[in-house]
Amino acid sequence: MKHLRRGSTLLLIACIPAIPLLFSGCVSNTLQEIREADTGILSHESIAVLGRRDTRRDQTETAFMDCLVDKTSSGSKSVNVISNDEFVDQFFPWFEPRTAPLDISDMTRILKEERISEKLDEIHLRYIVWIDGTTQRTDQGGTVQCAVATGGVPACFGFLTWEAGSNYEATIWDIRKGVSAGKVSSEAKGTSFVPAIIVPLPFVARTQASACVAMSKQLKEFIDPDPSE
Amino acid sequence: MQLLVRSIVVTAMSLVMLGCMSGANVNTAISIPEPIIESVPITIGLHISEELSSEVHEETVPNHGIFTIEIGESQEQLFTQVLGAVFEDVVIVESLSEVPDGVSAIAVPNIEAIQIGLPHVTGDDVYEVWIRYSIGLRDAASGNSIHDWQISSYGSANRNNYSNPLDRASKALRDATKGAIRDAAAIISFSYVRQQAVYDWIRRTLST
Repeated sequence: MKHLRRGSTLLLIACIPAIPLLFSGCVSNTLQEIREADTGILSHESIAVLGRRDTRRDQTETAFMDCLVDKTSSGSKSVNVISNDEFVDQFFPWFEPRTAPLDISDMTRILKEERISEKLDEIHLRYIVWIDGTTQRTDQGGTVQCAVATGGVPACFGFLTWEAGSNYEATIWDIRKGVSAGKVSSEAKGTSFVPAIIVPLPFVARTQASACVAMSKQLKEFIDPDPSE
Repeated sequence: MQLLVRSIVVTAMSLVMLGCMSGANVNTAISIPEPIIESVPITIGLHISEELSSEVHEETVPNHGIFTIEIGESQEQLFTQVLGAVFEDVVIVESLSEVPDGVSAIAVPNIEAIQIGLPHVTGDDVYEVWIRYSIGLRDAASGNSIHDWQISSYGSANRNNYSNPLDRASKALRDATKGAIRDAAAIISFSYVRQQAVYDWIRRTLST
């Protein structure tokens, strides 16, 4: 019977890593927008969301790109979205890190290639949205130490905290007009902490998810603004 | 019971240490999309040597283990797809001494060097792979060299895309290698026929 009780304790501790999904730290968001041209989109038109990967600098995480595609193509004011991988494969090798257009004038040169412009017409592409940015851990402090205590039960003590910042920018090109329509940026900051008295309880600030949700909403508003605004 | 708990803790810690320090074995099967470029109306031969098709890069990084990249099996698809887009047709040439009819020149690619970069070593958040290729072009009739072109391609993968520390290095290096192979495909697609010697050979061949 004694052995059975210990087994239950171990099972409980083994389940603890699943707890972070239940708690979350606080996140603050800042959104900015620069509009350079009027926008709008028809129901059959689409946008391509592409990651900027032209240099060795940090690349936008796949999780953020996937989230942005998912949130922009669903819910209120959803638009048809072509993902990065699908688009760069379809237009290989014109949008590879080494060959992708760096500005709208580069893009208009590419549009003069007959096979490219025909393919873009086929998929009804109206906007290319270039995503730049990452999530970085900016500061951290404290420690949590875990050990197997007498009796064979693992236990953790301490306090761990860290700050994370998610900074992303979307540059929107209107392919039909051949102009840069503007930029949308989303910045999320948050502090995560893990107090541990025997059992560690992580409160994780999900800055990347928050930045994604905010940016997708703003992007949809930017591309298809309300007539009254 | 105490022994069991200790075993679990030691095993978990060992696995994490193993993930951080034991290198990686990477297989890079990749499918290069068909490049959208204008083709030169010439049929070219392509010779993939045994050495290239079985190329395995092994690199020992101090304190991080041995990293192995099996890159050979992707090479035939890479060069068939890309040279098949640069030129109107590409024919695989098994032996350089037995050239099929209608082929005026044979491309002979090779991998000269591969280098990897790890986040722990470079301090960046990315796993990186550089590949240096040489692409020889030989006259089919005489076997003389027309041109020998060296290119360096690059691929990278953000470490934060891979949550599992046990296979992070393998998956990230696999994606970085695929990126470097795609980069090579992009370079060849746009720049091969612009090489002066290749350009001159094309003009000669089209005028005869």
